[in-house]
Amino acid sequence: MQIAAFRSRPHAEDESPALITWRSIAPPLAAATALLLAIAAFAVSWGAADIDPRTTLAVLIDHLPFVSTSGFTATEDAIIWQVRAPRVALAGLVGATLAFAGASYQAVFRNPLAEPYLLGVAAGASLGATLIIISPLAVTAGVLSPLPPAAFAGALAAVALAYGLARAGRTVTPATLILSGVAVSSLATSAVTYLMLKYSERTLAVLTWVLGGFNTARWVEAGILLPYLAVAAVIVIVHARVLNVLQLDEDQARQLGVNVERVKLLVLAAASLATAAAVAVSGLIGFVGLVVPHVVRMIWGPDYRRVLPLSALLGASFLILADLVARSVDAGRETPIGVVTAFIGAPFFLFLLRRYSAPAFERV
Amino acid sequence: MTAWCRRLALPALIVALTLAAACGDDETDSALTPGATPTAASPVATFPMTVERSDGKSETFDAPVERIVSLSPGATEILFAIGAEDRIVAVDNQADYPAEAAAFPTKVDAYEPSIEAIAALEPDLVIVADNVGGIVESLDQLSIPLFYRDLDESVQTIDDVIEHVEILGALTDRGPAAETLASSLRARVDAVAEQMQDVAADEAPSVYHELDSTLYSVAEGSFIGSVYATLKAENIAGDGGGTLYPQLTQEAIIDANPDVIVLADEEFGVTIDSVKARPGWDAIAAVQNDRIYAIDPDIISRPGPRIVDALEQLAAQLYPEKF
Repeated sequence: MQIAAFRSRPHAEDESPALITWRSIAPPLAAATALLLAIAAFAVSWGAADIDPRTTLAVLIDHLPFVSTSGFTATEDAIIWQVRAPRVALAGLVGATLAFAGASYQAVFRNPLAEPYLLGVAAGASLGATLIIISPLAVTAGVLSPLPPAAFAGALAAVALAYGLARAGRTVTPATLILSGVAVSSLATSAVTYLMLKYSERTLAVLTWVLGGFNTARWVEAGILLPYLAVAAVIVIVHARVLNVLQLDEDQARQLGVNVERVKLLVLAAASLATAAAVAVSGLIGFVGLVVPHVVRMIWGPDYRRVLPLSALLGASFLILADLVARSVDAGRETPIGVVTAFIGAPFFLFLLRRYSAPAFERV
Repeated sequence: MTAWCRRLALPALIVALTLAAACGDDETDSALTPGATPTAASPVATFPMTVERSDGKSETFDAPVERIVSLSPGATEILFAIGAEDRIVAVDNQADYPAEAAAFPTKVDAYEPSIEAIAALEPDLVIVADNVGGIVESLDQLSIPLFYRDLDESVQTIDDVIEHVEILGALTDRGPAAETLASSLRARVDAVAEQMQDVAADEAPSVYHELDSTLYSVAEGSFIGSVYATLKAENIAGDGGGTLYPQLTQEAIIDANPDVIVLADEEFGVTIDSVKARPGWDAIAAVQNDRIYAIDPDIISRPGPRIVDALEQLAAQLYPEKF
């Protein structure tokens, strides 16, 4: 569990990209998967309604194809299958998406503060959602709600704008892109603030959306997000090796025949798309995307072939756990998820930071 | 609505995005001393007249007020109902009832009221129901008299609202009209109470009152909660764990299995049909028995005369066999 800082040993022989084998990735993957399954199982069987684990299991098995069980009431079925299970699934998918996107952003920007909202996804989504909330369109709810598509479109528009503005000639330098993202975020945020004040009777609806959370999670939202996460995961993980080389030296990567700009654009686009989808179905949830990749790096080292999948698994576990706290710390009532992620995440992160005192990300 | 908006603002700020909270996030330090009850004005105005405020201070008026800025849509409704509208110089932009209030030419922002704009109107009374942005302290500095009854601190029951009618009537030289309105409101409340007399505890329905689509509700200690208490209904939000406007989990609502669902969030796009369509909600008695009811959020959340309309509407909904 030694921490490798790239700068300090750029030619590390023991972990040179080519030498990492499936055998060295499999154990942490298995451990993280087991952790995720255990946390998910616990989260599904724990809630405001007192339903014993055996009944929970019976309900879950009943929803498997070709199997039917009994011994539970319609209310128990509704709570487990329509409320708790989709909530856990969505929290897991959003956590996985944000952490995975955070790791991807950090890889492209080679910056420890990079996170999925860096290029304006959050502010853009907020603006999109706000525009719908203040419009007469808001008077529809449920599956056909125009809110998620508008948030999604706003998020993508913001990232596209940030990227377009940062593009000088054929290249986009990370620093320019970050600054451009910050500027676009400020612009969108100020527009949201203005609209909130101008349409003060809608302020609450905007704030409620921004706060996010999983209280009204349904299967349909999990179904919407899953394909985005899957596609982004494939696209980025395929480029994990290139991302490793990029951490060392962009010029070296170019000499190896890698189209650096194309890879960066592809990875950013995939991560941003997935983040936009996550934000659209759950609102803004901070901390996960920034910190989970660092935790993975501290524990398992900086190789992106490990960091990417493990970030997704750990991010899912973390957000399911955070949501479990959010809905059970004050039984029957919600605590804002953003408060929980920071409140349990920050101390844990500081603990890791002290314990593995060498920062895993020494270059900026 | 502004009150629970204010409570939402703080957690919202903690969350990643640093959107400026339009509601103002200051915490009112109005420490109403437990023993101090607001003094009721006598129907016939006798000046000088002293009116208690939510923050323990009091205001003394030597003569009827002539120029009122009302930052409380509920108080605005009262002023119109007692014929004191000619003394209003400005209302807040949430005031929308009666139609004349909605069309009032001079408006002040409800969430970010401009002290300067208020002072420029040279009011001799400002009515405040929510100390948003520390407006009470700001107006005190300018020595502008206030009628300040905080919606969450000292307006707990319909009786409090009727008392507002009497005080505002006295302050505006509309004592008799106010007394007529107050007695008619009292009579209607009493009529409901009489019908309710023989309702046993076990036949009282349980209720879930929804403020918005993310399942914010009202606790027993809130103004809206007091209406349900008057109706003997069992509020599934209970004491809210110390919060007046708790956000319930979906699971807790289904588990509580309310007999009646009251929606105060049609403006958020929630409809009776959309509630029925929520996954898992078909296990709730209110959904199965078609006992979902939408109420105008303004009439039940404002300390104005229409709160009694809300009481009557809810009574009819909760006890269809009695009303």
